[in-house]
Amino acid sequence: MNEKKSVQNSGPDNMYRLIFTLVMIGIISGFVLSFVFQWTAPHIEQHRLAAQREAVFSVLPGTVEYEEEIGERVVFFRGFDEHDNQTGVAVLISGSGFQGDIEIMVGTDPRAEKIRGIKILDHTETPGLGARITEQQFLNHFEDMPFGTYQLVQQDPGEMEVEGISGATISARNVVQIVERAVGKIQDYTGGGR
Amino acid sequence: MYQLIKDFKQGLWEEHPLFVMILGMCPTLAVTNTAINGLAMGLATSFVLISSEIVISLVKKLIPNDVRIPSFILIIATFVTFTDYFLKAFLPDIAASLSLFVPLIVVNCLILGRQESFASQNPVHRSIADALGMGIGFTWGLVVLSIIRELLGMGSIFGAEILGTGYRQMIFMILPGGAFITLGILVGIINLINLKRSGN
Repeated sequence: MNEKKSVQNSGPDNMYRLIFTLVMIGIISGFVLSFVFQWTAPHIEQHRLAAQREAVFSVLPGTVEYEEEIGERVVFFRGFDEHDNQTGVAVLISGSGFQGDIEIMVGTDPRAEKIRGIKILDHTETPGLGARITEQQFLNHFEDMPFGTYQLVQQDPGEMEVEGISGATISARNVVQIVERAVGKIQDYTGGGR
Repeated sequence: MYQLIKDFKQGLWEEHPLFVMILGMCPTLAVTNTAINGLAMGLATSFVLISSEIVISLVKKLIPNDVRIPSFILIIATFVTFTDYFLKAFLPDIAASLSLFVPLIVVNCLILGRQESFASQNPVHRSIADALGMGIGFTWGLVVLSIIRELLGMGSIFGAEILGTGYRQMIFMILPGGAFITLGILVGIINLINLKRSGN
């Protein structure tokens, strides 16, 4: 019944009407969403900053205060404990994952040339597979890891080795590469373990 | 009035979106690992369903038949984006645990299906009744499914410990396999109940 009607109406006039309808809906929906965006964006930004702050404290244990310094496409955080002693340097860095970018906070002790801890802040990996890079079990492999390059292994990780995630080799490997890059950035920043 | 109650009740049991029509399986299987996720997903989907059914049933005469599906999708996508921003801004924890599945509400066939089969053919008050019924039906389905999975998989309900620390968690229940098995058993039980009822 419906199809007959559309055949009768198909002509240049009808064509313009179709385009006009879709364009109108698009304009109205874009207009509404721009208001929604303006309304929610400050809140979203606030949550992002809170998560970032929490991440600094979590990857540099003992930190009560930190200084932020913006580097080239990364942000450095110098953490201090209550006696104003430096607890370490963290870097917020992002790199490509399996689908989108992975944003990681990497906390290090540049004097001991060791990673203190890492935390994934943002990612779009597959839920249940690649998204498991956010699990503590995987992140723990990086704790107290000396600076250098790391090998991804299937099980029983030794020195300089990280146990991968089954079904998500690419996500795990990319995290390792981003962490390696973060270490390089920190070494450049602190002038080679100052 | 009688008609409205009938429209409303349809989604609650007789044409239940999950257990009878088997619609919207992607969120159903993916996010029902904890009760709070199931509830949040149900409410988010219901919100999108109700708002888009209202709008579509109001503007249905203005939309030419040839472009109705793309128009519906645009309207649905607008409400989904709204929901996505809203959750990220005001309920960041829930937004983080639902992650990708909020934008995926756009392609939930339950929502497009109701627009096509109901909102585009019925007046607005009946569409609201239909959307409320379907939304509540979808939500209770997700909540029941996720309570069973969370209880067996983690020994808790809505994050509260129920079975105690001695309980050995059946991890597979919160993995995708557990979702299929639980859903299958529930669909079986509901079919059985319906059979018994029609038998009388």
